[in-house]
Amino acid sequence: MNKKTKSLSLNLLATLALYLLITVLIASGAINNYLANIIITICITIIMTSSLNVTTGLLGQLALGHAGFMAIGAYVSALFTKSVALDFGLSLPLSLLVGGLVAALFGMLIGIPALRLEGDYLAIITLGFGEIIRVIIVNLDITGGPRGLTRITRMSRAFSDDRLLSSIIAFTFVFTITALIIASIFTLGRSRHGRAIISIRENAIAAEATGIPTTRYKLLAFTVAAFYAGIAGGLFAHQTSIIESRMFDFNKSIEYLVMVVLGGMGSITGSIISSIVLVSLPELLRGMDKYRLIIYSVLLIMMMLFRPSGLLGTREFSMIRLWERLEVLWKRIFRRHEAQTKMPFQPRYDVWDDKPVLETHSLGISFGGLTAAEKIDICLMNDEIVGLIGPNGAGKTTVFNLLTGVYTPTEGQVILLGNPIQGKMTHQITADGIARTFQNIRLFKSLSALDNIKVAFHSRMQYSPISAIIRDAKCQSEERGIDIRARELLRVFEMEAQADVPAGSLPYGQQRKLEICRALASNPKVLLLDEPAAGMNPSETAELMQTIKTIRSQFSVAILLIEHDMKLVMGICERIYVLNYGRVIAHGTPEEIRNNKEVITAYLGQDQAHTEASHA
Amino acid sequence: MKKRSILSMLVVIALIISAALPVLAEDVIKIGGIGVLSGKYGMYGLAVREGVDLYVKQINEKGGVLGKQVQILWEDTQGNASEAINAYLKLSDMDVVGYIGAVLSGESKALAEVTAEDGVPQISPSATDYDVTTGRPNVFRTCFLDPFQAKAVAEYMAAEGIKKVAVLYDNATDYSNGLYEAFKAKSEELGVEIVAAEAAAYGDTDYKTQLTTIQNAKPEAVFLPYYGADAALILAQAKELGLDVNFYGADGIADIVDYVADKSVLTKVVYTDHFSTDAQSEIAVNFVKAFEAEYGKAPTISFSATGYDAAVVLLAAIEAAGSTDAKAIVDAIKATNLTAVSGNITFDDHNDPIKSIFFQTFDGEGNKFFLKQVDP
Repeated sequence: MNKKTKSLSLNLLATLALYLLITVLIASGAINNYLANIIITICITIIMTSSLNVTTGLLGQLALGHAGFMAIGAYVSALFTKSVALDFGLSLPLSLLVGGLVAALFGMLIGIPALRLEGDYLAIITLGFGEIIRVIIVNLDITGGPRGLTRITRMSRAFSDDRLLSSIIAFTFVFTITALIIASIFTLGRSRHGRAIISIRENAIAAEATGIPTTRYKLLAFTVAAFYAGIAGGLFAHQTSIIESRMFDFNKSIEYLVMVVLGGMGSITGSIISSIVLVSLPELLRGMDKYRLIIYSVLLIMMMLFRPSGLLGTREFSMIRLWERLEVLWKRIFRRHEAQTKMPFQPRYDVWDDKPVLETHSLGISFGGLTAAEKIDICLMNDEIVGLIGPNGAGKTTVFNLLTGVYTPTEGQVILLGNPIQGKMTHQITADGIARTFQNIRLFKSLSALDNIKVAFHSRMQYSPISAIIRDAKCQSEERGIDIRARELLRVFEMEAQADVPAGSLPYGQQRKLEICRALASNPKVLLLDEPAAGMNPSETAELMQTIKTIRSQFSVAILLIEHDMKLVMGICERIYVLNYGRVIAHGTPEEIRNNKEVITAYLGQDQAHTEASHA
Repeated sequence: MKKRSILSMLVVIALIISAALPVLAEDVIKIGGIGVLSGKYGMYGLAVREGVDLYVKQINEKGGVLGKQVQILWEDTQGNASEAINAYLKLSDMDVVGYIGAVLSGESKALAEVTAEDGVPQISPSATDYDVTTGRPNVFRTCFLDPFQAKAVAEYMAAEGIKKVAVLYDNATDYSNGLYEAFKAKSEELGVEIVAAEAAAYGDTDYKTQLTTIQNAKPEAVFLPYYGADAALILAQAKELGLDVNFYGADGIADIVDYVADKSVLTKVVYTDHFSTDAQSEIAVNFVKAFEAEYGKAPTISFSATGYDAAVVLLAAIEAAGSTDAKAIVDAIKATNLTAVSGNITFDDHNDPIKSIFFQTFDGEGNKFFLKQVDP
């Protein structure tokens, strides 16, 4: 705590000191107009790069049209201050807000269709979007067409008649906005919403299966980034006094992207540092005239050669601690009560005794005439462990995908706790009570084990993105609640010690356990395990059998598991369904299955059945 | 966070040092030169710079201005408006008394915005956009305007007996768009019919679609308000398509000679210029001689001449004002009436020069060929 307090004070002091230092230097004339202008450019660049980092770094989607949002913000905000007869000190902040909101609106409009795509396709769409914005601006009359908007009030002169005072106010204004935006990106990034966004980057399919509405979160990230870019655009317009569509072309987007990549994708502080360096560098090299661009390029290439993952990679200096520190101070001053810890995550111990928790009625799906599964009738009673076996390609994983909404059934029904769920989105079904693991492990590899579990609590948390940004009591109490619950879950699986280890660095067996643990965190009534013992040695398998039994008793879930390890299946399943060619060919107790002729021919084979039988 | 603040402090300190170094008090008159000196349009700025530097050298040899030597400080903008503002803010802290620049219209408007705030004299040798000087009593130029040359081209065509003309222009640049609008208005007035007006986007390299449409409209001439680099591509593609008519351009097309592989297309180009190396006035002949002696080449880009003239006007005004007070210099510039390299210069109410225009073409070798001088 002592060390932490020390570092917190340092953070707080550093920000204030930086502000005071620059202000004093401006006031004393040591920082002249030229340098003050460059510092403002740096701030604007920081807003652009850190907001772009929300999409490219946190969400993990390559966006090539970020300057397009900046353009929208710049034009809207410039037109606003030009047409509204208000005091500049009032009209400028208003215009930035309006510019940001319009940019956010465009972000949302472009995001709705575009974000259903991924990777290269999304990159191309955003690239096209940026160019479309530019072309529209060139061809509109209100934007001044190709000649741009000129005579926009310059903020470094407009705040006051006294030049020095106006310059200081302009700097304070821009610095404050930049600091607030960075803080908000940090607080948002460390909240349930930020975890949701990062989990999409790590593994979109697992995120959806863990209960994250992925499309909505992509849209949120995209909209937030566009909003901040719009604000940066507004500041830029009121810094240069003239804006032309060409200023916001593809090259500009790439320039910002280069800064993000250099700073490290996903590291906001990296973006900040690279913005400072890459804006200052060309200015420092100004004396070298035309060679400066060559030197600049060479330095960029060297950077990429020696630090390919950027200055900071995905690491981060802590700003959030600063924020929390401020809150502690606030509370001390006003003697407010500690926000209560909200624990809304009691497992569902509701009794569902003799009725099935999950049943399917002649469930089936065909892909373009090819039937992958048909007439599947499965039923799971409360607290039951049921096996789903069959040869490779029999349709076992297809059944899981049907149950979890990855595939929409073309026929039949899925009834969960008495309600039909077929046709719902995966994340909704997860929230309704079905959780799963994957045949090939899909963890959020760069997130810690603890955060992997926290992502799964998402669907049962309520606080809004705004709460997340200001870190209000609701946000804090919920976060504290899930922290306790997540650690409890880890304790059940004897993984408390690994809470802060990145999931990707855990040993194989623990990754399997963590995935089950994450599935349980969404508080399911039904748990689907897809080959949980795959790749495990006999002693690990034995441990797993024990774990599965523990889960059933502790968490009161029905478990449906796909497994090829007959020892495990026969050892713990109360009932078994056998699948072949997309149909249930047999179902019954392990004993019945072992002696079923059809099953023996199709799957078990004579010898194995015999061995198993003689062992029993 | 710790590292961040240390780093930014280092940067700030480095910036302060770099800005402070040149500010060593000397007894000179400093003028600033701001404009695009690198990149796609760098050659225009460099041409301006050669002209300005030449006059500064000449006047220093004659004892300078107000008995002091003149020092010119150059800043590159890369053609970027925000860089133009940065350059100004940098120079304005260094006792600079007047500015020559900027070179392109967009950056000149940005520069005009900040010089107007301080009321310091600014003369652009090459910004041809109308709006640059509007409402800014401190901003002047030594080149004529886009509408002025577009009208002159239309009149020239009409005098040549041309009735049907096509236009290919870039609707994303001020320059091209402005020329086209003025040309359209004047040709309609003179009864020259525009049979096709095709727009291309900024940065295009393939103009065949537009050229084919133009070819099908069967014009007698094509108006091509482009800079040389783009015009070279267009002419090569026009030749490929067999579009065999004269192409009329404005001042920006003059450097096309540097971009064409096949020089024969150049004989099809007729354009307006601020200056001709074949001009007959004594001051012009002397300028060409001195330029050749200094740089070992002729001042083929006319902005060398208008740059030279900008320096002439600015330094003459400082001498006439008898001080380096901004207001006094601006008043003296406004009262300018002198014979410069590109003709006699006076300024109208809009701070635009009233001066001569030169029509030129090329011979098959790519040498400029003087056609006609039109006086105001």
